[in-house]
Amino acid sequence: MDKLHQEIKNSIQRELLSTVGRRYRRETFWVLFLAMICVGGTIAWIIQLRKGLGVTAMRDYASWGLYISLLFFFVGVSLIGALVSSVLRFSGAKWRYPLIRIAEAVTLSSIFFAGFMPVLDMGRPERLYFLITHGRIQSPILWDVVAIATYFIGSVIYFYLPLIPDMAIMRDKLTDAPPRRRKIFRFLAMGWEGNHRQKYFLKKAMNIMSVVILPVAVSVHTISAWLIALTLRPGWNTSIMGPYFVFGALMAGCAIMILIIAKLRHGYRLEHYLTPKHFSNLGMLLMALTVFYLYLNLNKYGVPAFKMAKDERGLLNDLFFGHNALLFWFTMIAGLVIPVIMLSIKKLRQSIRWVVFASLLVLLGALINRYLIVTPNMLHPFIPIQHAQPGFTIYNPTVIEWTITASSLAGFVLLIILLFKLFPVITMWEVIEGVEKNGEEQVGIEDLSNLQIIQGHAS
Amino acid sequence: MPVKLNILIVLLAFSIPVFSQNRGDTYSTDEDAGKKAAVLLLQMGANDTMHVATAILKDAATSGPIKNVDVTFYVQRSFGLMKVGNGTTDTTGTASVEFPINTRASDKSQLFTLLVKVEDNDNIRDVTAQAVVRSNIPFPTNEAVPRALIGSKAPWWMVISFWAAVGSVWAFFLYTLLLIYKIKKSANYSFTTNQKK
Repeated sequence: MDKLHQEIKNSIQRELLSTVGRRYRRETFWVLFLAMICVGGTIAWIIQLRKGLGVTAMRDYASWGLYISLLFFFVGVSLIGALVSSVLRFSGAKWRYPLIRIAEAVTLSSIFFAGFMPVLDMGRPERLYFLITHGRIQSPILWDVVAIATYFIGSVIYFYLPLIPDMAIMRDKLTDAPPRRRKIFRFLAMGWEGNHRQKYFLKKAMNIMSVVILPVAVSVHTISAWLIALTLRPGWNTSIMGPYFVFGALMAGCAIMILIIAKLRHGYRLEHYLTPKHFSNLGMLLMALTVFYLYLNLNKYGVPAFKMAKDERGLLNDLFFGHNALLFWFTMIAGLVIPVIMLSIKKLRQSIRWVVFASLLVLLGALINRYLIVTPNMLHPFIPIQHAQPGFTIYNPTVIEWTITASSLAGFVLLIILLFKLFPVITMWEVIEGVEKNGEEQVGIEDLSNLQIIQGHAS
Repeated sequence: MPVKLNILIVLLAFSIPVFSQNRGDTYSTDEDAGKKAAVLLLQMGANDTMHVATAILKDAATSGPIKNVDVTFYVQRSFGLMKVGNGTTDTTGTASVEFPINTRASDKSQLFTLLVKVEDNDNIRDVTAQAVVRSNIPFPTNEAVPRALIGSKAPWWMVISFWAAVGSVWAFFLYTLLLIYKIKKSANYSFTTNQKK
């Protein structure tokens, strides 16, 4: 493939840079709305800190509720960065180029909030300090804290690496930006001028990180699974938990990725770069992951259901026919079976709307599934609950918990939006390089020779 | 000796007007002013599957039965009380509960303490009685648990594996940061200082 004409490169850069720092009316509304939810959550957290965990519905039996469910959700979603940056890289999928930064931003935001969720779950968060001073290496809680911190740092590095050449483009192109911002561009560009030595070091760094980040990402979610699987409780006392969490995470990450690129495509007018091909390919990936997750669910619930052992019976009856049956069957049917059927139909998979709808169902199912993994198991311990105080044997989250949970989700989305206020949504140099090496079709973007700046983009 | 007989002997030993012991209940507070003092007796019995605990509440002054008073039964556990039942005294001042015969002992002596309490009553002062009961479930022997990972000291191979895994990942991170530094060092001097090519 020939080198792209400089004019086309300039057009790509101008178009993709136009979203940086630009204010969109609808986006401003969402930023304010999400920020308000975050403020509400902060107030609720202050109340919780002052009055103690008694303001939540967590008691002796269900001592993990929405916060820890959301921890598992965030840790899961964070795997999308490793999927796009590492798995798709090794599998040679060229269409990943426009998705890399979006995936890394989702990872960064989700792992940040994943680290925050256990703190919310602690009545005395300042005691986290003792985990460092008195941590036991044989405790999965210590492994989890170390793994999340390591993955967060790794994600920051991986987010930054492909940003270096883009920061250089911003340094050179956005000359009318405020001086302070230009100073930041200059600092982050690390003197990038694209010489051979710099390209060699950058490629080497990215190769190393794409190899290292994968086991770290898998370990984060496996350790989260072990947090519960190493506990003797019905439903948790199974060896399938590690892969069950990892593949559930990949599925949820893929679903949220589709939703976010759909929103960015529409909101930032990135139709040239985020095309139906990306949705179709991600849809196919989502279908494969959902089918596999369905298979794991069959193992996780079907095998003990066949035996109906005494210890598991209470939990399984609760999930299949009891208090949580509606949620359980929603996750199985609406969250897994229906999306698989939808995504297996080629015509629907090629429609962005249908792929987005299927992803929404998968994501809702995954979110509820995290709750079902955590709380009902706690309410069905091996030793029967006798003469418990009223309220100990049920878990109905309080307004405080809902508010803090909603604010964490809002903060997750808000952080992604803010990242894309500072940096271009799509890695400019990688897309250009990808097109030069493989052509537009492989990368999945529109024909650049006919590129016309979408109205409202050019400055 | 059959377990049932064993239990019976212990129960008999403790059930002859068992104890109405002071557990910090007898001193008066302002809240107790105007409330009656009472004597609480605890008797133990058993059938094939259940312990039967009977509390008898009497007026301390007249020794007459006190009716319609809520009493709660607990088993003493390490740092707290495990509730096993509650009831209301009848016209004879008696309230009974049943709880499983296989209730575990609290320590190696294979005994556990059962308590009955009158608490926060509007007319009667708080009072507690207790009985020591032999359990038919042996207390677990304090042998080393083969699963060493839940012990207080991590095995050496785990310490080495943990730090090797974490250390190697962080070593790669540091090396990547070094490569970033090399990117900066590979830039032309004019570029980094004058910001112009």
